[in-house]
Amino acid sequence: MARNDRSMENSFSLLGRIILGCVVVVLILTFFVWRIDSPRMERFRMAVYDAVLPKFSWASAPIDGVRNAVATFQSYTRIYEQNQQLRRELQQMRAWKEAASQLEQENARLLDLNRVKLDPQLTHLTGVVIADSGGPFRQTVLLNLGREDGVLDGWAVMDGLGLVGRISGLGNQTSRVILIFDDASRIPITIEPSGQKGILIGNNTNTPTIEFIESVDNIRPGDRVVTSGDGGVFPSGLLIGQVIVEPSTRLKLLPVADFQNLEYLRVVRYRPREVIDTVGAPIGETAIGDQDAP
Amino acid sequence: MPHSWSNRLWLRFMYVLCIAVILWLQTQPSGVEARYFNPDLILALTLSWALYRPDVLQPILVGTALLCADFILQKPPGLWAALVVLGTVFLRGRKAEYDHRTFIDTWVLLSIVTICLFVLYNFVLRVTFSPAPSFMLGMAETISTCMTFPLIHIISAQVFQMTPNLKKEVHFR
Repeated sequence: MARNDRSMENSFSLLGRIILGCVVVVLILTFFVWRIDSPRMERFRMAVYDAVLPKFSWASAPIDGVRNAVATFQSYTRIYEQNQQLRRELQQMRAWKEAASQLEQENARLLDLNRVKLDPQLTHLTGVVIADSGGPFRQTVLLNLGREDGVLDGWAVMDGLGLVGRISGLGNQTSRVILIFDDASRIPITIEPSGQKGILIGNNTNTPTIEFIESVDNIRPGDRVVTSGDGGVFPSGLLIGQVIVEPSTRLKLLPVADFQNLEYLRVVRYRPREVIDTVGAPIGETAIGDQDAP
Repeated sequence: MPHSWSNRLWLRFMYVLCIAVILWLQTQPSGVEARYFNPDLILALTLSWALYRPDVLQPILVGTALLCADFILQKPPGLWAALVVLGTVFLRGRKAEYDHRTFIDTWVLLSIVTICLFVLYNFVLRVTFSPAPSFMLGMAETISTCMTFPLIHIISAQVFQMTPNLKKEVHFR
């Protein structure tokens, strides 16, 4: 009897089977709707984030507290070590300060010579990271800026030092930033000082690869990598990081942005410049055309 | 032993709460790096409870919870949830048989189901030309999920008083 009871409990009635079938069919339909009309589903997902996440920001306070406490404790245990390190760095900084002041004067002279016009269009908004992707497969973070703040899809996102990623997905009060590490990230770059152009390709590790370089021989480890502005999505000249060369001679990028603690991020406002898309007409043709017409 | 109605409702509530807490913890902003110990705790919890207490996890509950998780964790919505629901149905049929076996047998069964789900998931994603996650990371996730079953077992037994029929002696040798 006992066995009979259990099997009654564990197998489904007819109604249970129908419900099970419905659940599975609905889920698989959801998947196919997503596969066929991905943008609409992603917009729906963004709406879910927009509705849920800002309301839960208070809940992350205890986690932040614990993390800060742990970090503080760790720093106490290494205080002597840090002290020594800071002294060394201070000495280096003094040397750098000298060099910097010399360079500043030189730069002022050169700017005067060149009459360089610094781009006045680049202003920025600052936002706070409120969530990350919650898994190792996607490298994205969620910012507390959205459509209401005037953010547009595709704008570049930086921390104080360098490029972090770009906006991909907007809610009214939140926006998703796809980091340069993400598998789907492709960014046109220029490598200075050789001026070679290439594409930076995310690969889910901390060092994205650099591909489509014309001549690899002109590139040395430590060269600066900046955005090139090709394609018109990004402003040009935003610093991303340095080139590193793997033993297999593949080129990779060491980012300058501090990805270990992304907290405050800057969204760079950018509207693409006008593009000249007509070829020049021969001079005088219109005049001749006018004569022929009447 | 038939379980009371209120106990079942309580465990369902705890299941939803556990999933909400796991999701909340996973989406906390943390350092960005590819982690290789990344167990899918939601999967481990769902499969374990489907085997220990199938009367608690109705397909509609599992489906809804996993669909929400798919949305929040940026997976293709629906596919993973559907596979997990099928996995729980498979395990539900095995309960009577596994009630009288040791924990090691249970662990092996759960791990096999986990690996099958992972293979099926990747297969369907690649057949439908959806963007599929990196295979190495997925493999690491599957293995670390298998590692967490003992932990889930202990918590289910001690905190939620589940698995009354499983043999008490657990041989870890």
